[in-house]
Amino acid sequence: MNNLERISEALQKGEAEKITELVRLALTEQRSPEEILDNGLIEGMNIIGVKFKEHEIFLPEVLMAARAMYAGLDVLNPLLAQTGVKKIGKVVLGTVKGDLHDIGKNLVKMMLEGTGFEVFDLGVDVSADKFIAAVREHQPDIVAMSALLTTTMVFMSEVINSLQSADLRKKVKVIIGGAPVTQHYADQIGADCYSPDAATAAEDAKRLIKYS
Amino acid sequence: MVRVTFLPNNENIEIANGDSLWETILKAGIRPNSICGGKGICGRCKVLLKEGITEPTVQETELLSPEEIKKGIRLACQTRLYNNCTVEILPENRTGLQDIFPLNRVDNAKDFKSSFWLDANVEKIFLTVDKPSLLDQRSDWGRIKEALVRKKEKNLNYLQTPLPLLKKLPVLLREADFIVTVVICNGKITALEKGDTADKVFGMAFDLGTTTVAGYLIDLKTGKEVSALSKTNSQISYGDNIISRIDFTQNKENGLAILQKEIINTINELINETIQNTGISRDNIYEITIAANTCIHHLFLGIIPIYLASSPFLAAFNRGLSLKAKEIPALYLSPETNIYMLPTISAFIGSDVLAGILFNGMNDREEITLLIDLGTNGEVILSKNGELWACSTAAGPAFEGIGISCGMRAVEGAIDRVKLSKNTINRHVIGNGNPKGICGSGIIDLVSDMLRIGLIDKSGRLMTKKECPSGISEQIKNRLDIKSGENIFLLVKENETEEGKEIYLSQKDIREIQVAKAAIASGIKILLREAALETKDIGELFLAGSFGNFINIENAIKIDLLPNISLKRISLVGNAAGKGAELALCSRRIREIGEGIYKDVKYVELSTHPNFSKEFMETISF
Ligand code: B1M
Repeated sequence: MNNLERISEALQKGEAEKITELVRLALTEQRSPEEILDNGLIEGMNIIGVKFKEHEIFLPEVLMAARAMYAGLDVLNPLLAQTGVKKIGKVVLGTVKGDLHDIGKNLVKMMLEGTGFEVFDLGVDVSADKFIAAVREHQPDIVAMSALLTTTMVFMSEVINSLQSADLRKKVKVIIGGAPVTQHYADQIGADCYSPDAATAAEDAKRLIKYS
Repeated sequence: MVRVTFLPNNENIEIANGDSLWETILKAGIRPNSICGGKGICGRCKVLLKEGITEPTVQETELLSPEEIKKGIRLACQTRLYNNCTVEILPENRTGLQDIFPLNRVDNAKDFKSSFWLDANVEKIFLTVDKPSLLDQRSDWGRIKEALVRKKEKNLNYLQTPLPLLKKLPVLLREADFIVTVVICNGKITALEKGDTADKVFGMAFDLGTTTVAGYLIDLKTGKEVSALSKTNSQISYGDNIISRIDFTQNKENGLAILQKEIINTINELINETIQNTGISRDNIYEITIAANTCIHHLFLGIIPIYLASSPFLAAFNRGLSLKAKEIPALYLSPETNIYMLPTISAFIGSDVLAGILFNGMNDREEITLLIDLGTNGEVILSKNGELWACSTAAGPAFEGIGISCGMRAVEGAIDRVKLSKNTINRHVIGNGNPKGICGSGIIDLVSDMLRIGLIDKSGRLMTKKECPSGISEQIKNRLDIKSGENIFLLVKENETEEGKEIYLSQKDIREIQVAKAAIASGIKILLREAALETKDIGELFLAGSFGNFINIENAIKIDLLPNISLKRISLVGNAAGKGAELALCSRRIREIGEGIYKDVKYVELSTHPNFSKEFMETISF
C-alpha cells in the first residue's frame, strides 16, 4: 500500500491525526498537493460516499471521515492556493426559508467538499433574497437547496422563480434534496436535478458541471 | 357523469367527469391510508381498479412497482375518472379507522381520595319550591332562589340566570308541579329540570390526538369513570401527521372547515356511542373538558393553525378557554353544555401534555421527574421541585412502523414481540393469526436482541452471513440475507407462513430506527442539561401514550431510546392526557393549577438549539 492509499484508508476510518501525518509524509515524497488531494482525500471520501449511500455506514462515520478530510485539507489548502490549483466548482448551499433542519444539508456540504467543490453554506432558514445575494456575490456554478418539511419545500420554487427574475437562472444549475422532495417535484418546479442523498448530490453536482 | 362502484359492497356513487377518486372515496366515507394528505408524495392511498383502469401518472410510476401497476393498482389521489369504474380498497390500504374501541377503565375515585378532592364545576340541586298563592306572590324566580338559599344555606345572590332560561321558567315550573332540579355551572344557573334529577350529573373528558381520540364519561358526583372509548381521528386521511394537516388548511379551499368538521364528527361519534352504551341522556352531560395537541386544539376551535408550524412557531393563544357547545358547529351536545379547553404550552406542546403534567402531579413533586410521550413527535417534560421544562422532538413515524420495509401499525397481524437468541427465534403476532408485518414494539425487541447477540454492531451495521459472529446457530445465521443489494435479517421466511410473505428488517430500516431514537434521546439529554441534571438524577420516569405502554422497556433502554435508569423508577401511565382531562373535569382546583403553570413551563426550542446536532450524532449509534 502506498501513502495515498494509506491516506484514503485513514480517512475512511476517521483518523484525523494520522491523516495530518500521512499528508505531510506524502508531501516529503515529492507528491503534488493535487495528487494527494485527488488520489488520497477525495478518493477516500468517494468510498465513504458509496458506503453511506448503500447504508453500510451512517452519520457518525461520515462525520468522522469528514473531520479527517478537513484535517488533511488544512495541510493542503495553503499549498494548493500557492500552486493556483482551483476547486472543481462553486456551490451556494442552504436550507430553505422556514426550515431549520440542517443535519442532512451539512452532510451534503461535506460530500461536496469531499468531491473538490468550494461550498458557500448559507445555513438554515435561507430566504430567496439571501440565495440571490449569495449567487451575485460568489457566482457559483450550482445552487443547492435542502428542505425537510412539506410546508417549506414550496420555497424551493420561490428561489427558482427569483433566480429567473434576477436573470441568474441560466448562470447556475439547481440541485434540490431532502426527505419530502421527489424527482417529480424537481421537474415540476424546474430544478435541474433531484438528489436522493448527500453522496449522490456530490456526484450529480460533478455531472452537472460536466467535470469528470 | 361517471359511475364509481365500490367493492365488496357494490355501492355506487355518481360523480362529475374528471373528478378525483381521492375525493370520491372520502365522500363515500372510506378512509384511505395517507401520510401526505392526497398530494401524490407518500404513495399510500393505493386502490385496486377492476374496471376502468386509468393510465398511470408520473407519480404512480415512481411510487408503485411495475407489478402493482400491471395489476391495476393506482393511487387514489392521482386518479381522475372519465369512465365508469369499479374500485376495491383493500383493508390494508385503509387507515385503522377502527370501530370505536373500549379503553381500559380505571377507577378515578381512588385517585381522588389520595391526592385531590372532588370539586366539579357542575352542581345539581334538587328543590321543592313553595307553591304560590294569593298570600305568597313572590315571582317564580324569587321562590326558586329562596328554596336554593334554604337548601344551600348560603347567599346565592351572585347567581345569574340567562334569558333563555327565564323564558322557559313559568311554564316549566308549573309542569313540574314546583318540583325541580337546578343545574349550576361556572357559577351560573344553566338549566332547570323537572323533578329530581340530582343524581344524574355527568361530564365527558376528551383527549384529541393526531391519530386517536379518546372520550371518557365521568359521574361528576363521585368522580367515577363510567365509560372510556377511543376512535381514530377521522382527519387522518388528510395526512397522518400534523404538518400535512396544516398544509391542507393552507392549500385547500375550505381546508380548515373540513378538518374542523372531521374532528367534531369523531367527537360526536364517541358521544353517541357513549350515550348508547350507558343509557344516559345527552342532556345530562353538562360539561366537557378537552386536552389536545395544539394543532388539533386549534382545528377543533376553527382557528387557522398555519403559524404553529413555521418559524417562529406561534399559537393563537395558550390560556384555558371556557365556551358553550353552541359555539362549535354541529357538536351533538345540548347548546348550553360548557366546554373547557385546557391551556396549551406552546405551538408544539399542547394541553395534552399539560394534562399529563397535572395527572402525574409533576408540578409539586420534590423528586426529579421526567414525562415522555413517545410518538411521531416525542414530547419530553422535566420537573425539578416544581420547576418545569418541556421540549418537542420530531422523531418521525418509524416506531409506528411507517417508513420501515415490512413495518405496520400495532394492529391485527403485526408482530409485536420478538425474542431472539443465538439459537432460537420467537415471535408474537397480534391476534395470533398470520404475521403481516412488524410494528414498533416488535422492531425494538428485534433490534435490541440483534445487538445483544452481535448481528448488529454498535454503529448500527447489520452483519452479512460472512461476518456473522461465531456461536450463532445455522438457523439464525441463515436469516442474514441480501435483498436488492441490501443486507437484511429475515424475521419470517417465505416458507414460514401460509401466505408465503417474507417479513424482514433491512439495513435501511435500522438506519431509520437510529434516526428516530436519536431524536428522542437527544431531546431528553438537552432537557436534562438545561436543568443542570444528569440521567442518574431522574427519580421517576413516566412513560405516556399507547406506544409507551406496549414496548419492552428493558429493550428500549438497550437501544438507547430511553434513559438508562432502574426499571423500578419507570411507570407506565397510559393515556395521561385523557386522565388529566378527567381531573380537570372533576376538579376546579386542578384547572386553577393548570392555569397557574402553563405560562411557567420553560419551553426549550430544539430547532435552534446549539447542541442538538452534536447530541444527535452522539446518540445515533447504539
Ligand atoms: C441540495 O441537494 C440535496 C440533496 C440531498 C439532500 C439535501 C439536499 N438535503 C437532504 N438531502 C438528503 O441527504 C441526506 C443524507 O443523505 C438526507 O438528509 P435528511 O435530513 O433526510 O437526513 C439526515 C441525514 C438525518 N435526518 C434528519 O436530520 C431529520 C430527522 C428527523 C427526526 C428530524 C429532526 C432531527 C429534527 N426536527 Co424535524 N425531524 C424530522 C426527521 C424525521 C425522520 N425520521 O427523518 C422531520 C423532518 N421533522 C418534522 C417536523 C414536523 C418538525 N421538525 C422540527 C424540528 C426538528 C428538530 C429540531 C428536533 C431536529 C432538527 C435538528 C437539526 N438541526 O437539523 C420542527 C420544525 C423545525 C423547522 N422549522 O425546521 C417540526 C415542525 C416539529 C417540532 N416538534 O418542532 C417532520 C416533517 C413532517 C412533514 N410532513 O413535513 C419529520 C419528518 C418528523 C415527523 N414528525 O414526522 C437526504 O434527505
